[in-house]
Amino acid sequence: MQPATVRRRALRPGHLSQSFERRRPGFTRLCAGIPWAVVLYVTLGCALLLAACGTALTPTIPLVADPTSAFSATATPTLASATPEPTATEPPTATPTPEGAVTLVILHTTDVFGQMDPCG
Amino acid sequence: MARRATFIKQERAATQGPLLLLDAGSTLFGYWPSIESEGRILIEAMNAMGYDAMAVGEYDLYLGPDILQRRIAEAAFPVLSANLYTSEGQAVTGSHTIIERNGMTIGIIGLTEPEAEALPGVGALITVHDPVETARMQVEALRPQVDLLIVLSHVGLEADMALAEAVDGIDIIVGGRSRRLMQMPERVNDTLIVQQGYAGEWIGRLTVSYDADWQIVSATEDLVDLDPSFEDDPELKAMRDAWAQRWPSPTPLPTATEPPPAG
Repeated sequence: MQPATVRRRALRPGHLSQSFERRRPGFTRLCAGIPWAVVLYVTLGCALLLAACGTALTPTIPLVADPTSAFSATATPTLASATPEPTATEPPTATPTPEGAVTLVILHTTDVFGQMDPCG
Repeated sequence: MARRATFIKQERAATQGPLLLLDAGSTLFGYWPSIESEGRILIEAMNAMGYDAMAVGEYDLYLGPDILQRRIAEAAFPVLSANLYTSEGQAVTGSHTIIERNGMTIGIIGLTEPEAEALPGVGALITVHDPVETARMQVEALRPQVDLLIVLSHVGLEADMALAEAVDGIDIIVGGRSRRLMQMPERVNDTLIVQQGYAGEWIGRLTVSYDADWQIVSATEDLVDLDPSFEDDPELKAMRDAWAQRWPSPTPLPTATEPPPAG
């Protein structure tokens, strides 16, 4: 019984490129028509826009005036024009509470700095 | 504050259950003419609005502990700090209060930031003890007496979170000093932490529901911008106008109708 011969397919010059070329009419040719630079710029633009929105929504606001400057007899501290707008206040939604439950409301202020009329 | 009074009245009318009105401190002095009035205008306004308690922040010490104690004597609500002492070792204010509200027993402890010791001209007159150790002792003593324990704190948000981490048994920390606008309460273990704004432009509203075992069912924090959509409360507006007449602004801002200065 003769041993089974192993047939090796020799790689010919250009074999791989021929194989690649066989797929080209599908995916590659399709991609060849896409303006990749434009896609890249649009993606970068969207990312920057989203990052900017995320920063604006951060619920922390800077105070321009140093706390100690509030004691100046002549100057009235002002807020930065870039101060993010606080979110609109919505009335509390009535949530059903189980029997025996209690709902506490705490209204709270702080750091009023003697201000009697913020907008006056 | 006239708009704030309007909002507070609306909330009192709309709320069925217990409602507390608290201030976390640094409230009495700062803008004109609070210093000229030695803080009287703020105490008078807070009395009219029906505040339940206030903590001492460093700005409340701006004219010294003696003036603060005079204002406290005029206040219809407790002004609290468990860790604020004179340099002779006397407590400047009460440490805590217990409020009964709609069948609930609520304990409130006040805390002042250690940075108050650096206030020029005042630091030598006061000693501020460590807030965490002070709170630990206060909570231990007060917790068995109350249904709900609130710390009214002016130590700042990060320190409040560290406090909640270090001391068990605090239900809510109502804070200040960091001038944060919060869209929702912070939660550290079983402690809710809130604070809202500065300079009287905002007021916070924490709505928290507990079940029969005092476990938190829900908690929401609303940031209320006291914009012109809130009308001035007539009583507070009259008060404000009287103060403005008594202590006219030293530097009135020019208006568009004023002629330009000669020369």
